[in-house]
Amino acid sequence: MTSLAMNKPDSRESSGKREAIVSIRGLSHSFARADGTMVTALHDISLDVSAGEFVCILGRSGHGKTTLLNLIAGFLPTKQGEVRVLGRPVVSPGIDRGVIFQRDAVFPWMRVTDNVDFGLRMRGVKKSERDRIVTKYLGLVGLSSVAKVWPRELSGGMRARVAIAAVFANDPPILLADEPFGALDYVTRRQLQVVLHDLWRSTGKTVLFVTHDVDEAMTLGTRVIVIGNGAIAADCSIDLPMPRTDDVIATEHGLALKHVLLHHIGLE
Amino acid sequence: MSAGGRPSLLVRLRAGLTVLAVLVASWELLSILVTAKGSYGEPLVPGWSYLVRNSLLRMSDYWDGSFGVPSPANGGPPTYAAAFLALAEASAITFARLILGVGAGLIVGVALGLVVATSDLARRLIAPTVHILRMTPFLAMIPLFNLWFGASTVGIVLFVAYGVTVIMFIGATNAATNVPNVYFERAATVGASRAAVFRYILLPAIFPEIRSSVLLSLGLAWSLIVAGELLGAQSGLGVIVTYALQFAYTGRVLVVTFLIIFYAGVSFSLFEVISRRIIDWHPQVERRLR
Repeated sequence: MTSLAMNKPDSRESSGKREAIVSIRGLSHSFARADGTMVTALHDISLDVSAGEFVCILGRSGHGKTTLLNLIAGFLPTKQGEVRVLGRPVVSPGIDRGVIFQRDAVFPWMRVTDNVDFGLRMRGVKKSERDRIVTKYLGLVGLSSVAKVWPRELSGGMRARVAIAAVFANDPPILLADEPFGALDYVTRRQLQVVLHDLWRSTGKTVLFVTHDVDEAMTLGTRVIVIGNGAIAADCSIDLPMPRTDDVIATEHGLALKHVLLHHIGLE
Repeated sequence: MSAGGRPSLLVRLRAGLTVLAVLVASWELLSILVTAKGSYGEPLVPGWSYLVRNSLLRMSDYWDGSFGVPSPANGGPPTYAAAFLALAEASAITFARLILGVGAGLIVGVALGLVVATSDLARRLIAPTVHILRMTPFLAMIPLFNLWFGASTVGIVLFVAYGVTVIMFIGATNAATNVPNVYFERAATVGASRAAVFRYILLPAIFPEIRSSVLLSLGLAWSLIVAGELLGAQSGLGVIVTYALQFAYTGRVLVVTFLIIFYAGVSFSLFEVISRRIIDWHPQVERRLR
C-alpha cells in the first residue's frame, strides 16, 4: 500500500536561510541516579532548526537523543540552557508540537477514528470539520477500511499509522518523533517511512526525528545531527534527491555521506 | 477449556448443576433426619415442601393489606399473592437502598481515588484517613451509624456507601497509578484539559482494573445492607428476617436468604454483562462466555 497522492513539487532543496522555528542554546541536562550520583545526558547543545526541515537526530542508545526530544516536547523541565519554539521558551507540552511516541500511545479504548479525532476534539473543532479531517488523514495513511476498529485488532504497523494520522490531523507546525518505527519489522518500517515522508512533503511541517538507524536517517532527513555522549558530534546536510530510494543512497555522494555519519556515530 | 468447538451451555453447566442438585437433595434428606424444633415449634431444618407451603406462604404476614389483597395481619387468610407482594415490597425497598448506597459509594470512592492518585496535595490530605478507615472492620461501624442516623434509610444507605467508597477508593488509586504515562503525555501535546484527561484517559484506562473492585464492593454491599437492616430498620428484607428470628421461624429466614442469594447472583451477572460491553476494547477481554 502507501503511495500517497503527491502533487506538490519539493521546494525545500533550494531554501535559503530562514528564521529558526526551534532554537536551542547551551542546553545541558543531567539526571540523578537512584544512588544519588548524577549522569549527564546532554552537554551544551546549541542548535537551530528552520521551518520545513526534516532533521534526523542520530545516535546510539543512551547518548541523549530522547532526552533532547523530551526537552523540546516539554516533557522534561529545562534546567540549564534554553529551548525556544516559535520564539517562545518551552515550559510545557503544547499543541504547536505534535509527538509520535516511541511507546504505543494509541488509546486502546478508542476506536481508530476516535483516536485520530482526539486532538481535534480537545481543541474544540466543529464536528463536521473534524469528520472531514479525520477521513482525509485515515485515507492518507491507508486506514480507511479499519476506521471503526479497536486498536487491539490492528498490527503494530497499523497502530503506528494511527499515531501518524492522529498527529497530522492535529496540524501542529512541528512534529517530534522518537524512534517511532524502532519496534517494527523491516518491511513495515520502510513502508511507514514512505508514509511519513510523503505527508511531510505535502504538509511542509518541521520534523525532528530521533533514530539510531543510519539508513533511516539518510532516507528521511534533509539534515542529520549526530549525538554522541550528550553532545553534537556532527551536523550534516543531506543534499540527496528525493525520494531517497536505495539507488539514490548507493550513489558515490550518498555513500560518502553515509561514511561520514558512520564515522561520527562511532563505527568507522 | 480447549481451543476447539465450544460445548453447549447445558454441557458447560452440567457439573455445577449436578452439585447443586445433590445439595438440594441432601437438604431434603437432612430435614427428614433432623427433627429438632425451635422454641415456637418450627423445624430447625425445614424441608422443601415446608419452605414453600408454610414459610413462603406465611410471608403474607408481612403484607399490610393494600391493593385489596387481604393480609393475615388484618384477619384475612394467608395467600401466595400477599406473600409475593410482601416480598416484592421489601425487595424494592432494599434494592433502592442498595442502588443509592452503591451508586454514591462508586462515585465518591472512584473520584477520591483518582484525585488522590493525581494530586500530591490530595494524597497527603486524604490518604491517611482512608487507609485507617479501610483497616476498620465494616461491621464495627454499624453501632456508630445506628447512633448517628438511627435505624433510618439514610443511615443504611450511608453505611453501604461508606463500605463501597473505601473499597473503590483503594481500587481506583491503584488502577490510576498503573496507567502508562505516555497516555497523559499524548493528551498534554494536544492541549487536553484536566477534566478531559479524567473523562477520556483516566476513567476508561482504569476500568478494566477496577472491575474486580466493583464486584467486590457489590458483594460487600449485599452483606452491609442486610446487616444494616437487621439492626432495627422499619422496612426491607432484613426486617422480615428480624421478625422471623424473634419467633425462631427458620424457614422464613431461609426463604429471605435464598432470595438475597438470588438477587446477589443476578446483580453480579448484570454487572458482568454491562462491563463486558464497556471494555470491549480491552485486549484481554475474556471471550469464553460470548
